[in-house]
Amino acid sequence: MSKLLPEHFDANEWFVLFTFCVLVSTLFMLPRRFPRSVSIVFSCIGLGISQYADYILGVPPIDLYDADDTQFSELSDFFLYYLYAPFAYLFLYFFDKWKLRGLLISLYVLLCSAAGAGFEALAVYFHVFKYKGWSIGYSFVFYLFVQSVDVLLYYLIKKKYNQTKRASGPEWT
Amino acid sequence: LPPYYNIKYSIYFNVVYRYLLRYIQGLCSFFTLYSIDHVVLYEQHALGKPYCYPLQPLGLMILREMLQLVFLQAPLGNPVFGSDVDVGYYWKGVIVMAAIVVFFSISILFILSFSVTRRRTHLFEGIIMWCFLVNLQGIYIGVLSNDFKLFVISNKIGNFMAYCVCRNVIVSLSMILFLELNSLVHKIWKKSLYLLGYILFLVGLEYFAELLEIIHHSEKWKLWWSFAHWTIVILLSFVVHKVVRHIVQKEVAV
Repeated sequence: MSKLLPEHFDANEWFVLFTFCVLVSTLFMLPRRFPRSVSIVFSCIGLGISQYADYILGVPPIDLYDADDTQFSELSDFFLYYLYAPFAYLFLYFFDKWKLRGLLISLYVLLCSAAGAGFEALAVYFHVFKYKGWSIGYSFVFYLFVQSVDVLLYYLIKKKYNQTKRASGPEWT
Repeated sequence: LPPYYNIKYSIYFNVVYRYLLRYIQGLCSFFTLYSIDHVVLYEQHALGKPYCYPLQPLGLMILREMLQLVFLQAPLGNPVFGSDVDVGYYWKGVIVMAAIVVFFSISILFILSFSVTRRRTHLFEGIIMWCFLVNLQGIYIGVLSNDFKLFVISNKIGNFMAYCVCRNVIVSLSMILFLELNSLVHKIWKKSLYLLGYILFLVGLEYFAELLEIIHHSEKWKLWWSFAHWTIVILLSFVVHKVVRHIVQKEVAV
């Protein structure tokens, strides 16, 4: 089991733990905006995509980066994936709250992608990621793609929810 | 003229090779996974001269290999390669091609089956279940493959892609179809029979992947571990699906 536990509980583990706590607290402090089922779907999208991408890009034969201290998967790696669930939720939360339309959608996605890349640069500083051919520029493009997909899914899910909503289900307009 | 350019093969090469292949090459060019792969190395070896494509799309490599196998009958002594072909090395390439073709075909069949099956599964359930399965498989690969090396995924890009398709399309879609089917039957023996059949299918798929060199189990690996793994995955998915349906059903009509 020793490979699952970090060798040294240092900056990267603290960073992941701290960010996770902050994000989850923020999530629970914000007033509820989506129906419960939709909130779960939005969180799952972040988790699913991050893990899917990681197991394509982060393991051999492509293997463009390592997460955490070692090339092995540690418990904190799995925490790292769960960071992306509140990220995706918050991204769509504010997207829904501000009711963005037209070019503002593109601007929002661009800004959030830049913020995502900025956060990743901070994570690299704290040795959460070790790049082996990857770069922040690629991350920006990746976030741009993923967040565009998120926005598309947002509209799809909203349409589906309103099509299939029960009379007793909460309104989401 | 290259030796294969005779009347017998001219139709194949004019129609298939020149147009279709180039068209597919264009489609496949987004696979920017360029590498000197076994096909290029094979060609270097077979032609006896330095011969490599610096930016060779993966799709073209696979198709070229397919064409060589089907139309030129390479291992039987073909006009291009002659008789000094390293057949063993060639067949290694064929196994990679077979792995990709087989797993992509199975996944297409599952996508078709999934699309045409009348389901009660709501979109939300589908997304959550897919994410759950991806997460579960991620942890499984991370711990058993990356940490404990109990099985190793092939380093070849083609094999790796076949593995991704197997894990993320075949397993996920078949799991949703299985849960759907399972919710339609009420007798315990029927449920058990379906469960057993599905476990056998998944274990069979795993060992088929081993046969096609997509994954390689270590010597420590026991067959019953595969059965135990898939049983746990199915039971966990079953529980998660129940919980998810319970939550989703309160708000939307499933």
